[in-house]
Amino acid sequence: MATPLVTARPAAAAVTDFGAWMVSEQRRVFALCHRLLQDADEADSATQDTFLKAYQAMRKEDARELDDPARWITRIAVNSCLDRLRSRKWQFWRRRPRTTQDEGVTLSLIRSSAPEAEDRYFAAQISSRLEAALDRLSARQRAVFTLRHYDDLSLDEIGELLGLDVGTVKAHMFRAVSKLRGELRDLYEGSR
Amino acid sequence: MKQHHLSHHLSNDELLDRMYLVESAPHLAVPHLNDCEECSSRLQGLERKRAEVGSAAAAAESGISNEFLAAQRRAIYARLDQPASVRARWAPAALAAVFLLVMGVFLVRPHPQYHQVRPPDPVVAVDSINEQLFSDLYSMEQSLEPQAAAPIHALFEVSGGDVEQ
Repeated sequence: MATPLVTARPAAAAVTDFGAWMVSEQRRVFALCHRLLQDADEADSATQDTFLKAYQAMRKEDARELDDPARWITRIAVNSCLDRLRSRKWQFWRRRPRTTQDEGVTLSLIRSSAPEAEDRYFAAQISSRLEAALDRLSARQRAVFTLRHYDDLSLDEIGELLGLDVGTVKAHMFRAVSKLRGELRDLYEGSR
Repeated sequence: MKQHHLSHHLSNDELLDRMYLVESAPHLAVPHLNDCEECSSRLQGLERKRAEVGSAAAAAESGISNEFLAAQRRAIYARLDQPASVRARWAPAALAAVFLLVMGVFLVRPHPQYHQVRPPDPVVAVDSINEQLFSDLYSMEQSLEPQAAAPIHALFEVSGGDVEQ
């Protein structure tokens, strides 16, 4: 069981505890935001927002002990990303087509070392093509699919994170898989 | 109890659906996967590929530099130190401005109810019409006879003279 994080403390102590906790969670939260938003700058802002909201929630007087801080911060991060994805729909001027340069960045992250280099190369290709295809999904479909695809969460866990019942999560997942079926089929069957 | 069995191997699409937990008939697919070695190994192959994607993502995660994370923490601390009142101070002012704007738009916009009623077209009084009619008739009566009737009158005048004689 995760270490409980006590909330509603005096500010100085809270910041000390908060700082240590943030260091332990920061990389994971940023990676999650990056996977959901696929934009480093936006993921950076979303991560900052996430920890800021967490800090403010912890300082509230009615806050109580958190049994699973990791799950709690994950939920805040996912919701921050969902807000950003929803508002992104209106910000058409910020949309940019995914370029081969982006794929190059993704591929450069994979250090090639034989004999795993080929596998990693194909995995990176799968990742790049999927990430490009994710733009076709709604915010919720995208969150549901990403949490299953990358984080291997069950429908129950995804529902708990997003505050949705399992049936709704399954419906979103079904639509996401239907929209991505072409890419998934190609990537799983034809990439090798 | 009735036993359901698939008579064929699962298609790749059905395996994909199973992997993402959206299969339409899990009561058929799951027992089949338990029994069929070929289908279960194909599913495992797909799962392996998905894991490769996950490991690629993890590799990308490990590529996040410590300097970047430290800078991010500094930005978060800076925002934590920012007194909440700075933002809170602007909120009422912004709300008031929006309220005034809305009220201004509402008040300035002419409401249909308050539109000035267009005065009706001037109607000529019935009396004046009658007056005009009578004066026209009178003038017609007093005026010379129409030229068209003149020859007929002339005939009578002539015959009148003869009668006298």
